[in-house]
Amino acid sequence: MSTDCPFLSDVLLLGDGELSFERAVTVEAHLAVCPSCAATEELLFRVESVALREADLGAIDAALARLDDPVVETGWTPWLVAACALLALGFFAPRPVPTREPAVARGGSDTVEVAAHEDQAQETARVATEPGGTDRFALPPPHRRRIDVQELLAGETSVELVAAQVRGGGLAASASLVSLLASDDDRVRQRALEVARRADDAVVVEGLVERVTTVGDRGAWDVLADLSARGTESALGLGLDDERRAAALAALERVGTTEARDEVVAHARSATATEFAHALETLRRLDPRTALRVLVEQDQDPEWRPVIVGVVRSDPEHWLPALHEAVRRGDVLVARAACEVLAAHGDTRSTDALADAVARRGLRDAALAALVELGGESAWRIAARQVARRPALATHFDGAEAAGGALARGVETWSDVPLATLIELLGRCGGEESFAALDRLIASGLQSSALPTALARAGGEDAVARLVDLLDQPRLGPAAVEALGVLPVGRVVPELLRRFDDDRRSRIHEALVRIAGQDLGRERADWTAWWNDRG
Amino acid sequence: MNEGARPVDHETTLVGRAQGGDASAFASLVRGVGPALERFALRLLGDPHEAQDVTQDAILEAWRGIGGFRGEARFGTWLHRILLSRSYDRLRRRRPTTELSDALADDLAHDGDGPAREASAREFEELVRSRIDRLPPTQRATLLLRLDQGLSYQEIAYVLGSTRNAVRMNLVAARKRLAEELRPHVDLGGGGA
Repeated sequence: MSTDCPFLSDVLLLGDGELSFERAVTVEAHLAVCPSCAATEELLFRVESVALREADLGAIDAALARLDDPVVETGWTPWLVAACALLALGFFAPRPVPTREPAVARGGSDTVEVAAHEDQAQETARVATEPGGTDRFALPPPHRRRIDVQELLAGETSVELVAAQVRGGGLAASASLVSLLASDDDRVRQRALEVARRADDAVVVEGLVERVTTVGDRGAWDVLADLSARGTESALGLGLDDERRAAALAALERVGTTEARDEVVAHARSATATEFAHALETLRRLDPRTALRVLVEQDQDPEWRPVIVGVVRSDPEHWLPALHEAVRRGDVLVARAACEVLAAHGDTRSTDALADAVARRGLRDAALAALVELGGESAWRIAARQVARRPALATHFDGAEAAGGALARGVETWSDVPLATLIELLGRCGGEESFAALDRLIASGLQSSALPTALARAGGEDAVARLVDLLDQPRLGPAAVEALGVLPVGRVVPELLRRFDDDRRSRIHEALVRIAGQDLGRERADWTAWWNDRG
Repeated sequence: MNEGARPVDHETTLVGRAQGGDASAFASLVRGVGPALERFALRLLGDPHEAQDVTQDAILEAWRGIGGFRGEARFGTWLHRILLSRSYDRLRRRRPTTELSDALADDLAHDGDGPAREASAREFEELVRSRIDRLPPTQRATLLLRLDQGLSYQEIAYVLGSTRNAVRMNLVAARKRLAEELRPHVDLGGGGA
């Protein structure tokens, strides 16, 4: 690398798009005439294309799970003081005389006695008012009673108590809790939700879903989201049929919380194709940016591509501009994925966005491949110019063969790109279309010495017959000899030996050395003997 | 950075809710930048366990300090700033270590009498990462913020607590060094000098 070039610093910054327009134009022009800077720029492009990788350390979930930790919360000092005080009180308080009664859990001014065994709990849940536990009473078994509203409203302890009752399997209690979830009295409804959050009971969950789907009850949704976060399944995967799931999605949209959005994301990622489209549509209305991310992530799976086509085509006026914005300004990994989506599902407007993305370092490959795949005169010309400016791209990026196709279509009409450059690039890109285009150029009588080499590169063994035909042409013959020497194909040797005369001795000798991997000298007889010995 | 009005509004709403103590809003903000944050930590520190710790610490510090966030940058940029500060603490405590990938570079550089052998795609990828890991921390952070996050120079300056010009200089220095170190291992076709 030339460290003396005064342009080097700006060459290193060109891909960032932060140079002034005038300076960027000057630097671009400089790249065309300075091989050293062009090579450095190309090298950086490759380096920065491979520098990224995904990481999933699990740190995000772990950190978020700790947000409720008192010492993490804002202003945690008072919590700590209070906790210390409670600990101290607990330590110095008179200890109750041990009895044979169930274990006691303390909370606030009330105390809930929770049986050590669940079946015992059903029979012996007790409440005592502090201090002294003088006002104790025993609950009857849960299946014998419904929830008493006054009891429910009595205090925090009653919530725990009723939740224990519901957990105990009392169908009547569960059913009555479900009815309380729909109470007109806000206070009763809030209490019922608190019980539902603690009870985690199947009947109650069904009731919560009912509330969400029928009236868009945000509180019910919060409880559902909380329960599903604790467990393993999405709240939308709680055994709903299609109709009810659709209703639940609509309800989530009405609820509109971040938990609701996260739930839709989780559902979309595990949904069937039909459900995916529906979930994504909901998500799009809730949070367009997240919806786009989910869309491009899903497109990475080839089996999902037809589904993505359907989604994009269902509303191109939304999805295409969103994808265009992503390739222009989204973070690099999303932008790359968006390029792939546009390659398959874009329209003519996508060409401009992809052309802009070509200038973003780290995106050039993806954008270029997308342009080529997207096709159309404009897209192909942009792709061809990029390849013409950086020949190494032709052998480096995944869309090289398709780029060859683009070049092949433009080779006879694009007067702004030198023909010799196009021919060389066709050779580098390879593929059937490149080969056919080169073959057409030869057939047209074009006498470019670049043609045989390009043909050999593009066609490999398929080019042998054509190149042998060219051996006797005065202008293309010498280049054809060189091109045959590049191909590791033994059957060209007799053709070369037949032409081992004074005029072409030097070139044919070089070609034979390359093919044989050894130098037998400049005499035809020695090479003929070697060939015959090989049988 | 030039962003559409809708995402910014959405973020502003979430920040407001998080400042009011809404942990779910904060979680939503964090999840929006989470993958990028983890990538950044991992590339900066190299060690997954350290990166995990630092990412968690940064998120929790952000939660504690969300009340002081005045929207002078995007939430994600602000979070990266916190993470970078935490990462620097770790890096300062580290002893220099020998890079395992040096062996790979040596192998590529001295394989035979001719010029350095061209690296295979996988080798090259590994080599690039190892060379980025060996950049001085500020250069490395600057490069990663530009490359991975696509932050503008101004935003990078905010994360680093630096200036736009310093960001430019760091990027030039980092890329120049990478180009010099990796050039022997790359075939640039006809474009090489």
